[in-house]
Parts: sequence; C-alpha cells; structure tokens
Amino acid sequence: MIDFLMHYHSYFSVILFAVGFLMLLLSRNMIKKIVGLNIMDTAVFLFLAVQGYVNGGIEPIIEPGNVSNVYVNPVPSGLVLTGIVVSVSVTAFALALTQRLYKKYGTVNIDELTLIVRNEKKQGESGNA
Amino acid sequence: MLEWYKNIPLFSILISLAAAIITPLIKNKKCAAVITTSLIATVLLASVILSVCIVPSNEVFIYQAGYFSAPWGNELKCGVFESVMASVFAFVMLFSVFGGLKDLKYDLENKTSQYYYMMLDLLLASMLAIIYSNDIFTCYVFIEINTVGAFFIVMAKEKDDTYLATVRYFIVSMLASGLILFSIAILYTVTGHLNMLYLFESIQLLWESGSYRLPVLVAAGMMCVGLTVKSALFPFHAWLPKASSAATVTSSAILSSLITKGYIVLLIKVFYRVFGIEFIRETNISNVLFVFGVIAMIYGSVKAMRQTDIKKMIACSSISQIGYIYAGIGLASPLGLAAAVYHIITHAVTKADMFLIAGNMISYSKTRDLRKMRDIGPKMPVTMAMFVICALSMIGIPLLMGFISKWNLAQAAIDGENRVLIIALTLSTLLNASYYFPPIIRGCFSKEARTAEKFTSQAPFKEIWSQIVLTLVIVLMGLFSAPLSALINTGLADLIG
Repeated sequence: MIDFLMHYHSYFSVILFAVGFLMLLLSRNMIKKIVGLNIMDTAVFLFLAVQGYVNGGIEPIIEPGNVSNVYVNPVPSGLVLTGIVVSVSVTAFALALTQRLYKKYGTVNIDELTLIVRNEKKQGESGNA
Repeated sequence: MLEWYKNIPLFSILISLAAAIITPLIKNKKCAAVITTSLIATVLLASVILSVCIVPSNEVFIYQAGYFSAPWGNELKCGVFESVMASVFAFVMLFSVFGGLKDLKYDLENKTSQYYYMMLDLLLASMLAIIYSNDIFTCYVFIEINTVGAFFIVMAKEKDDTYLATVRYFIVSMLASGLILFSIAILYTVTGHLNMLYLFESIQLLWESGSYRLPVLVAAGMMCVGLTVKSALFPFHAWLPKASSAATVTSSAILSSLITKGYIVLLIKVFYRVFGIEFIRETNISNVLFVFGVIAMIYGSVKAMRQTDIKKMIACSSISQIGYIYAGIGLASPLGLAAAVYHIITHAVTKADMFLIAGNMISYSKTRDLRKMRDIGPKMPVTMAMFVICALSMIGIPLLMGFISKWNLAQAAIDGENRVLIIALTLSTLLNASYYFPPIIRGCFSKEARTAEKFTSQAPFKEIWSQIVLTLVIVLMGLFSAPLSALINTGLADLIG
C-alpha cells in the first residue's frame, strides 16, 4: 500500500482525474465540459505512462550496443497511444455536437438549452391544442 | 489444426468493421441499407452455426487474435454463453432495422442515412467484440466505439430534442468511460496484466495475500459504477428515457434492448472472469447491485405510470426491467445469474418489439400521447394485438416469454431465501400491470373505440412483418422455454466454474 502511494505521480494523476471528472459533471458550459473530459483522460494517461517507467531503464529495443538489464515497460505506452486515439475521436464528436447545438439554439450552456427546449415543447403543445 | 468454426468470432467482428468502412462510401441509400441488413444477417447465421458447432461438446475455446500468445497477445474467448449472446444480439438488431425502415426513411436526412448504417455496423462490431474479447483493454476500446455509435444513432434524427438528449447521454457516458479507463489502469498497475485469465489469477493471489487490497477494491468499484451507468441502472438511469424517446424507432429499440445489454454482459464477464464471484460477494459489491436493482424495479414502474408519451413509458419500463437483471446478478448465485441472462434475452426481444410497435402506432395515429390513442384498438387491430402480447409478456403472464424469466428469478430468490426480492417482484408485477393495462383498455374499450370503424389505419404487412416475427418468438419461447434455459445453463457452466 505504502509503496503504491510513494509514487507521487499517482497523487497528481488522481487529483487531475478528480478535477476533470468534476468539471465534466458540474460545469454548465459545453466547451468547459469537453476540456474537463480531456483533463480526465490525460490524467489516466499520465498515471499509465508513469507506471511503465522503470528506474534506470532504457528503451526496450534490443540491438548490438544497446543491451541492459533493465528496460522500460513498453505496454503502457501502447495503451496510452490507443487511449489518445479514443479520446481524440470522442472529443471531435463532442465538438461537432456543440457546434450543431450552437447553430440551432445559439447557446452552449446546458441550463439555457434545457430552458429553450422546454419552452419550445410548451409552445408546440399549446399550438396543437 | 484449428477447426474452421473457431474463426467465426473474429470473422464476424472483422466483416462488421469492413462493412462500416464500405457503407459511408456508398451514396445510394437503399444499397447501404441492403449491405447493413445482409451483414447483420450473415453475423446472425454465423453465430447460430457457431452455437450449433460448440453446444454438443459444450466447448470453450480461446482464439489467438494476433501473433503473440497469451499474456502479451490479444485473445478472443468463446463458449456457448458468448455465441448465444451474439446470436440474440444479431437477431434483435436485424429485426429492429427491418421494423424501423419506414421511420428511418422519414426521420433521416438523405445525406446522413449512409452514416447511420455505418454506425449500426460499428455498433454490431463493438457489441460482438465486447462479448467475445478476453482482453479488458480491447473491451474498453470497443466500449468507446459503442458509445460514439450510440450517440450518433440517438442524434441522427435531427428533429425534436435529440440534441439535448444526446448531450445528456454524452455527459454521463463519458464520466462512466473515464471511470472504466482508470479502473483498467489501476488493475494493470497492480497486476501487470490485461488478459482476463491472468488478471483473475493475480487478483486472487493479491486478495489472499492481503496486499494492494485498497487499489483492487477501488478498481472493482469504479468498473462497476462505470458499467452500471452505461447500462442505466437506477441512480444513473435518467439518460435512457430521454434518449430513447427522442430518437428514431430503430435507435430506440437498439438503445434500450441491445446497447445497455452489451455492458451488462461485460459486467457479468468482469465479475466472473476478472474479479471472481467470491471476491464480489466478499466485498458486498453484489449486495449493492442487488439493492439498486430492487429499487430500480419499483422506481422504473412508478415512473412509467406517470408518463403520457408512449415511447417514454416503454423506456421507463426498461429501467425497471434492467433492475430485474441486476437483482438477478446481485444474488451472486448460479440460479440468479441464469435468471438474469434469461431476462437479458427476454427484455431484448420484447422491448425491441414494443418500440417497433409503438413506432407503428405513432406513425398511423399521428400522436405520441397515450391519452389521445382512444380508438387505436379497432383501427389497427393487428398492431394492437401484438402490443397486448408484448405487454402481457412484460407483466409476466404465463405462456409468454416474460413469465419464464420472472419464474426463474422467483425461483432464484426462493433458493437464496431472499424475501425482499420476492416482495419486490410481486409489487413490480402489479405496477407493470397498472401502467400497461390502462392504455390497452382505453384503446380497445373506450367510447370512441366502440364506434370507430375497423381496420381503417392498419399498417400493411410489409411494415409490420418484423414485429410479427418478434411477437411469434415471444410466444414460442414462452411455450417452449426448456431448450433456451438448458442452453443458458450449459453456457454459464464455464463462467460459474
């Protein structure tokens, strides 16, 4: 337990994760939410990337003249790369969605948006009746 | 020598991905629909053949998907459970697409329709990968693909308030994805593995030796919360009614009956293959899920009673049905798990059918308001009859599929001496009846219905044949439930161990 927490990078990434998480959850602005999402993902990438580092390790490519007893773990880097691709595509989708929202309703604030949609519905109902 | 049928899992995933690349390039709308439906049909056929091949010997095989072997390489694991799940998912998806074709034509803009079909291909690919994959990071990648596909199919109908529904779905779904990713990162850090088998062994060792208990527990909690948010369990259910009532009919059917189920299947795999059910029981995670499942059973029904919009009512009923599934999983007993899996299949078939029927009703009666559908019984008798059958199945009337799954769940509850579940089951059944019967009675026996002309707005056969097929399945599975139950029990034997 103790040595798990000794890595202070883990502390930072957990704090960053919490910041991103809360930003995505609580912020009312779509753009801020997307920024929060990216902070959250980046925190996990930091966490993973740090875990792959081995003290004094070299890159895990075995060539003549590049032999060592200690190598850096390459798997987390692979995971981070995959994660980045996923995160980028989700961000792209979210930005496209926000653009559509802004074009249609003229706002990126969730509360205002809810209000507008509710009013539209009410008007529609009274129009039908 | 590898037997030929062992290639089917990877083959199904790959052709779905290939179709997803081809479909958007095709400008012809009809052609894209043909490619997608034939793809789903092919996957269905392949999965059924796979099931037929492996059921007699109850074989569970591991398929090495790549050059490297186990701890480093990527693997697919397939047994009877996986192949049956894949068949059910492909079957329900196929008929959801067929049943919603007319609404798709009306709801989608010309420019976006081939992208819609592309997303359906991707959804199929990702659900198959989630079912088959034995590597938890691969599961995460396909969860994200599934999520983006789900956003798109909700948003595709650019009318009403689909944007707002998508935004809400987006926020909760992304929070859940973050939790799942972090959970995987923690698991990798403490065990050094991503393969489910090796994770299981390491976690057992760690748990027995008592080291790193907190990180493993946190990872398990995060994974559970993430997957339950994505499958709309009670405290995180709010996105489901909004998204599935705003979207087009096919999307609602797929969202409510398949996408949420994909995550539940993954949760079952994570419980039994990664953490081990002993761990889940010891840490009380299963009890927490059980409590929320029971609350969802009641809450979803109460919420459905207050709805006046037909699609919203059906979607709220999904919340309560998902509660049933989680209550079954939460029992953490073989019987409970079998009941939950049976209910996954029941709910997938019935809910998809109900959404398609509701779509049919909406397009012919020109209203979504249940209070205004007063003469719907005589005007569209075939559609209404199917709605009645589905509703009875959801309530749990004997001779229908829903009865069998409630029966199984009640048996599991009695076996586990769980009084709470029996009371909740009874209460929820009564509540189910109380919101499904009023619209039926109003539609068939109100003043307007008695005077209305008959068959005036019945949809033609070509628009309702897929609903008829699904309804027939509900009736037949109710009458002859033994084979499916036996199949599920053989399939789960490997998971329970």
